[in-house]
Amino acid sequence: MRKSGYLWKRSVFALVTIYVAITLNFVLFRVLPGSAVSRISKVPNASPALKHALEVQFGLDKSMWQQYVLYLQQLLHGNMGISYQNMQPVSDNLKSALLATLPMVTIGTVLALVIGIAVGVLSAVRRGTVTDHATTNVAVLFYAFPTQFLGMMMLIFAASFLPSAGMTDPFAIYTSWADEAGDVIRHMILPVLTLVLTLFAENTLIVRSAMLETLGEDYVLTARAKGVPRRKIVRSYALRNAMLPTITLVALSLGSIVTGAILIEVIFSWPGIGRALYQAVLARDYPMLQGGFLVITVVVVVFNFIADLLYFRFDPRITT
Amino acid sequence: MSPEDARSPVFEIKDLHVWFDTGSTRRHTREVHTVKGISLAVAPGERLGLVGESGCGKTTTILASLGLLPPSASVSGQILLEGKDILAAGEKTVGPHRWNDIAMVFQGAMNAFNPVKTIGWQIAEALRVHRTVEPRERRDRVAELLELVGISAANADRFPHEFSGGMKQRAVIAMALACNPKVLLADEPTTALDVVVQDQILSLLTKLTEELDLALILVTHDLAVVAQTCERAAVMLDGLIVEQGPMTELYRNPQHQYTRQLFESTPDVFSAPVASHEIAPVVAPLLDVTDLKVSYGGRRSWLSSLRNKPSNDTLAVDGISLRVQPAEMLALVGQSGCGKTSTVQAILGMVPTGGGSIKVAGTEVTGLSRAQWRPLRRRVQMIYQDPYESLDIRFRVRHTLEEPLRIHGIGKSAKERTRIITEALERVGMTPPERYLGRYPHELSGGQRQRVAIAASLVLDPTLLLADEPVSMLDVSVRSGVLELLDTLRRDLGMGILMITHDLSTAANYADRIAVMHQGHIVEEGPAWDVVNTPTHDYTRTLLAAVPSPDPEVRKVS
Repeated sequence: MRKSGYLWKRSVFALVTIYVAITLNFVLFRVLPGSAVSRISKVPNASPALKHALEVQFGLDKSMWQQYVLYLQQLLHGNMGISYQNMQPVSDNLKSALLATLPMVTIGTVLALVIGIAVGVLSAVRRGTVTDHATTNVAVLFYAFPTQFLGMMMLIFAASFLPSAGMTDPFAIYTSWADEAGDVIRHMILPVLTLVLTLFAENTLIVRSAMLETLGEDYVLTARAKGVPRRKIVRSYALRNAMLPTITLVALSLGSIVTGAILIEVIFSWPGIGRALYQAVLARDYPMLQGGFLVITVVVVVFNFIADLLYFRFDPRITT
Repeated sequence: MSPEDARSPVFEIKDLHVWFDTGSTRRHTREVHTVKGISLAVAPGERLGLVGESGCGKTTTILASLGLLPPSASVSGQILLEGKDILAAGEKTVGPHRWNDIAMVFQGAMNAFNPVKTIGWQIAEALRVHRTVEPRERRDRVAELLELVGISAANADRFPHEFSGGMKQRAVIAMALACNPKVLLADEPTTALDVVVQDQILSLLTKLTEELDLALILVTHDLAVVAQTCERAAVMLDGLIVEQGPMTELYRNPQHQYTRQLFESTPDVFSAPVASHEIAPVVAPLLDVTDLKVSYGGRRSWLSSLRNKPSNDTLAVDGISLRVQPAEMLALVGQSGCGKTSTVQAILGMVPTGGGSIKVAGTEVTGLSRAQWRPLRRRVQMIYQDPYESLDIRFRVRHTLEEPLRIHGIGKSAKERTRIITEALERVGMTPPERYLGRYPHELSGGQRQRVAIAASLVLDPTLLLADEPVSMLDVSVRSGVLELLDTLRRDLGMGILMITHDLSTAANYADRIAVMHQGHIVEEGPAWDVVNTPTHDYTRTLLAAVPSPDPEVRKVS
């Protein structure tokens, strides 16, 4: 009973968040000065008639309110509109962009989590030793680097022996499926490495401090007195309780993973959603922007929802 | 040990020393000698109290005997279990005895359980680790243990947060008994508990030692607890045992100065002085609370308010009336959760009231806005329970005392403010004041911190002090000093003091009147001596029966 109540509340909350985000996305881009037409009609001798024709074509002559209702209606039917840039359906554009982004970001995030937790636990357990100081300092160093700086450094140092732009080699002729996959993986190394390096540090620091806190709790001392082996104490007492704040913080930082992905994709010319958005902003491509931001919002909200569920699963104290 | 109880000791500590390495510089290592050669022994079925104040090394001693000290500690001496030295080869020799022979009940029952595992799982874990019983008998053994400490076995699958404080402490004891230990080390097992629950836990421990022939070392700062539970006690000061012997002997004829001082500062509810002085009722009391109601939380979900459901708030304070006259100390006594803190918060305007009136020096304060409250705040000052948290750790003493003056615009010049500040410090006994002005809270002892907190309210020259458990976080020997200080303040400056406490003994010894609060109501009120000696309400009698007396002969049949 209590469980379903919690799930219900969380789901409603997630849906409301998505709706608010949709509306904000719609309003935000129309508040910005300039429109798609003002850019396209920057041809020599563009007549007001041409401008008007373009406005009608893009539906920008309608009132804001009409545009909003139309937008919501079409969105419910899965239609995100036509990109102003390449006249293709936004959903198709986003689909191909997402297919490029997801593997890169997922691998990067998961690696960063695994490395972050492992290093964090290690430095907490070896508190005060050389291992602890070394790992903590390295983590702080990487945490301090801006993504773009780290990305540039990667380009400078690794571009000679690793592919530095795009997802595949445009001139390659693949003989097999494995051949193509290998090429994609090699292209993925640098962006994934950059993402991992910028993300793992944060996770390390979070896990370390959460672990230190739980290691100092009375129940850990009790477990030691009880004769529970050290490994088990670290796992089912300290780490198990340290996961709770970690889940929350990692879920919160997912938003920054998205922004991180934008920078990384632009630096490494990765044809993903981040780069697509960057270009859409330059072109004032409203439907594309709306669609892209919607996708990102939904992803972040969904991940937070998952974090809530995990929290519920891991912490018996949660009832509401 | 007395001759008739000449059983050979099961557990002995011999000449135990502990040093802590507090960080070494290149030149020399800095070591702190915390335990300086102590020796103790307990026989099966015997209960020994280890009494001392914070920092005296009693917890370190206990941790050392289980080999649980951090790596920065070095230990010398012997821990003998049935004559065998278990510290001889470090972890290799201590390990097998942990929980199997020596079990421990730690300080802070609230956190002794892993919050994400069930109580039953955690008790069973001890059985699992030590392979005490066959896997399929584990559940039965857990049930048996829980029943032994008076918890229904059906509770095994519940999580720690679903247990009350007393139940948790019982479960901790059940867990300690899991592998049939011979020795039980209990470190402040009742400190966080209410007096009635404390009494139950102490009786349980007594019963268990007798039934299971268990040797118990009870570590505590509270002499009265030891007096009511143990046959013998050892008094510890600065890493040394200054006196050891039968409890009655210690009480009747303390040899060491420190033992005497401890007994003197442990208030005894039954030997409280007869009403010290009568206060003629004044026309305008400083604090006049009439029929005050405070509802708890006010958590009405928006859904239920939408459906216009009546809120099912429980009243934390349900129609209480209090009066504090000038130069009077009223003690509001009750268990945690009885509504005493809500009362104070309502008086200070921190929580909205649900009815009734509160008059501070004749002014009605319910429903006052923040700005209207401000001039009144000078008149009413608050002293909090925990001086470690009520002082800002980044403020020097001068800054802490100067801030209220600036806020209320008192003292035209820096010179005048300094005069007020030094006066306040002198008044609370921090002399010479110049020595303390530049100090930070961490450079002060607990008692000094509470004095500074009191001085910070005195600079405003208040007429009414609200003191929320002003001494419960302090060591016994400095408690009486702070209480004496409060006593002088009301006598000399005519302040009215409303002291909130769970400790009936303190109330009986220092307050003029006592109001006993229970579940949001005041069940009994009257002159302190009368309430303690001729209680009229059942709840007061229950409380009184549970208060431990430092006199071992006033032991209740448990």
